[in-house]
Amino acid sequence: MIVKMKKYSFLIYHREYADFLEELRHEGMVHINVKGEGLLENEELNNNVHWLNRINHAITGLEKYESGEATAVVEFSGKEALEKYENLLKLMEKYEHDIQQKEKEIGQLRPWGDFSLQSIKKLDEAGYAISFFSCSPRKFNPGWEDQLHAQEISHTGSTINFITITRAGEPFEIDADPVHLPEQSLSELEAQLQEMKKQKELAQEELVNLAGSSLKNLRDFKVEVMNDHEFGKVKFTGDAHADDRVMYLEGWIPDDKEEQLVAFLDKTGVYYETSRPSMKEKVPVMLKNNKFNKLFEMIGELYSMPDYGEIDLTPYFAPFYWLFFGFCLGDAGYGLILVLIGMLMQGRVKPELKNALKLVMYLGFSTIIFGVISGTFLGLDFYEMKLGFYGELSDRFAAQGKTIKDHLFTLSLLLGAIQIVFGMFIKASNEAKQFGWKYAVGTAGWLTLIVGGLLVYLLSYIGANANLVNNLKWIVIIVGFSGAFLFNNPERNVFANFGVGIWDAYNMVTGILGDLLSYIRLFALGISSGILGYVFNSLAVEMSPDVPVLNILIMAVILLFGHGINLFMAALGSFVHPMRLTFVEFYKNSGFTGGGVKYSPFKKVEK
Amino acid sequence: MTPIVLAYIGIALMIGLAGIGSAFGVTMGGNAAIGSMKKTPEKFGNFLILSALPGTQGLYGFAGYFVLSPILTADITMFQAAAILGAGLALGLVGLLSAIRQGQVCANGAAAIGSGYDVFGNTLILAVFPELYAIIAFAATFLISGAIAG
Repeated sequence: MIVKMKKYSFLIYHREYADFLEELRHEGMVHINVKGEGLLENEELNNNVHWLNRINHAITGLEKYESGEATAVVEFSGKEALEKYENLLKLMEKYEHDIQQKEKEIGQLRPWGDFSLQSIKKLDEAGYAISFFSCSPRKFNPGWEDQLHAQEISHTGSTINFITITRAGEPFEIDADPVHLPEQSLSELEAQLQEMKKQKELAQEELVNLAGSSLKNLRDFKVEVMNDHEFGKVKFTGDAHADDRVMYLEGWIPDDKEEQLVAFLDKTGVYYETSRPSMKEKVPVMLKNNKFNKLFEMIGELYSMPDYGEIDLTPYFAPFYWLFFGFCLGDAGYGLILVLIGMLMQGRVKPELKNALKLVMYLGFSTIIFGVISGTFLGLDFYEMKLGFYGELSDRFAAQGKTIKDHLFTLSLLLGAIQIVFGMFIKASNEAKQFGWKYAVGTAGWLTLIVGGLLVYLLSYIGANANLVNNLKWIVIIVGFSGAFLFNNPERNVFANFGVGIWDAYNMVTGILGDLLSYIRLFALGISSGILGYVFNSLAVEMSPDVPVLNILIMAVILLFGHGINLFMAALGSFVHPMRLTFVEFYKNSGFTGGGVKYSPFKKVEK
Repeated sequence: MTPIVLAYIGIALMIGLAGIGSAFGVTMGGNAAIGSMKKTPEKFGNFLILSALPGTQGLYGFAGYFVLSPILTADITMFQAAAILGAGLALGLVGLLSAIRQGQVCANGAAAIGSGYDVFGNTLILAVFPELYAIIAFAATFLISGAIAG
């Protein structure tokens, strides 16, 4: 059910505004609908967002260095750590760039070997010009060796590197590429490269140290900024009145927390008023359910929270979802695995996941039940194997010309019909509750036609008293018809209602037929996971060679791999398709609108 | 045209088309994943799962063959062969197209994750919908095999 909320409006003197908000946050019970208008233009809030971005980048970047071994452990505050990280990051980038450049220069110089530029300069002063060239072997003119004293220094497959020795001051041109070499010798360059690499390593070490010592502080800093941001948003929501001297703020509180809030408010001396929400207001929605249904709230949240004025459908869809999941997975062995996962992993996961694991466990129980019904255990088909009483059942079915699969087909449609009718029932009672019983007449009429019609059909099928059946049939027709076609809307006259009724009839028949057939997916998914398991079992047996130890190994690998994929894919399908049936078929027939906002009180985030 | 030829044509369509569909589907997912890894290499796990999802249709094609294989004997009747051809056509075509389309959904999901949106869970959910029809075709193949056996 949806918890009742009360609206509280506060008038706060502007000087006490910030303090009041702090204390309100400390109480942590009031939900405040943050104002959206103008939020993006507010400078202070945008600032917070920028900080959060920088901090998030820093945290992700530092986490990469977390596994390294920290040598020095100097702790920095969150803000200092952020700035230090950003500086170190810039340094690292610079070093990497410089190292790349240096390596390029070395690559250029390497074919020429390690010679001293001083020697070249001395030769130049003595009047001999040494020029460096490179060209392809084809273009190399042996004549250059005579004319210009060309000397080959080195060559690769595609280039010859050579020098020419000429008199200084005698320019010349040849058909080769002149090479401009760096000012330093190879050994000097390599020494510089080593130095740069060392600097880079030092910077990396510092990052590792930073990660080891201050990552926690950085994370705390992030929480601090996030809290400030929330605070800022709430502060922004308050409206200024009376020349900015008084701030007006609205909030919501669940009924059971009201006493606590009033005590707090009386202590602060702030002026407040309270009221019940009106129909148009965006009241936050908090759900309250028993321990079983509570686990299914997270599934409902994947779609939408109910509107405050609606019925919380969680306790109504939960048992169906539970059944459908089991139906779709339909293998007792897989169900057992799910139960084990749900039970054994409880101790090893974060608290947020504990509820999810509990849900997995319950769904596993449903799967075991349906596995027993369909006689499937890890792909083994008990009906086919005629194991124990399954043999008897199998023979009994065969005598009727059917198998368990036919019965499962019927069962899926039956469950679908039950859910659809149940949904319509909820819709009728919801309409009665929200608008008055006259508005529920239309839906009630259709319900009578459908359920009554089925009842009459059943009675005639089992051969009940013909008179009784006939009378019942006429009652159903008259009541249902008048409800659905004549009185379906109290605000219109009978003739308009009739016209709308015909349109509704078309929608009803096609809609409900389509919805009903949608439930066939339960049957299809159910048998397919069993068949795939069966196929993997057969594969494992056939594919293993006759070698004694090897065949068991290969069988085990195929079984593990096959059932693993099958369990994953089938579980995914069993999770999604019942959800679709709930959100589309069930919610539609229950008249669910949704769009509610979840209750999240204004309080300090710890992590 | 002897019945066995007809039957094997059905098998060929079943395994071939479904396999082709899966091949296309996982490749589309893989390509999108590689593109996204340029931006978010740490999400490779997500990409792996999304790319692998369209692979099941090929599996269904093969499993369909497996389920029908006891019937593929020399003295198969025309009745049985026609059924196998029908099943092969159905599963093959549905597998082909549903896998390709599922691959496109997964590829879009991978691209969105690469652009920084946290859509892995929701993509998984949406990708399961095209698969349903391949499952239905597979279930139909199984039911057909049950109807024509013996």
